[in-house]
Amino acid sequence: MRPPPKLEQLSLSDKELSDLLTNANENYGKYHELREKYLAWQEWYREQKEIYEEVK
Amino acid sequence: MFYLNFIPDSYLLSVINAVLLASVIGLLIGFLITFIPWLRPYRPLINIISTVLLALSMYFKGSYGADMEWRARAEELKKQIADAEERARQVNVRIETQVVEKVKIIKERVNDNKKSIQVQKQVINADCVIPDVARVLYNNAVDNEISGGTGESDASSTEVRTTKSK
Repeated sequence: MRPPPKLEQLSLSDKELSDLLTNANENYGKYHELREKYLAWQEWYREQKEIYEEVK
Repeated sequence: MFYLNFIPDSYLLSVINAVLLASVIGLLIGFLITFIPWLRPYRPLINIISTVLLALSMYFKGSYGADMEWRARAEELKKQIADAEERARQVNVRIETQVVEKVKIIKERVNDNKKSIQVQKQVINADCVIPDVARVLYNNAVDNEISGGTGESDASSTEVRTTKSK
């Protein structure tokens, strides 16, 4: 299991609005990926628990 | 009755039933011998043997029945567990496939946006420069991590924060 990626900060040379938009785009992408993985974990746990309860 | 496991079931049942039948017949014969005077001396022996065989056959019949019940129950549980394992495996495959697909779509959208930003760069940047304080405050919002632990090291920012993160 790998730890989640960290968000990117703006560097000292990033002074333009397009740099900010690029950075935000990358960070939001990471957030959405993490969200999907988080939801998948929840769904996996729920379904496996259901299967276990039926056999128990 | 572990030794029952070493003998084929059908053979075992046949033997038990044969002994049971023989004991019942023996008891009947023991009763009928009363009317045959020259066979009367053998009556006690026949009755004793038949009674012992009846007791033994009833005992083994009961053991056999109980053993068969346990075996059937064990088979049923084994099947339930195998079904559950298969379903769990299918859930794993389905969820993994879904996540891989969704992450792929997200990455595609991020790339598309990135290209659009590059294409529209001049329009976006017209008369707009991000002041340093805005950059620092933006980075404060990005860097709100609480827990430490293993992960990618972030050496990009060495600035002092202007405000404390909550």
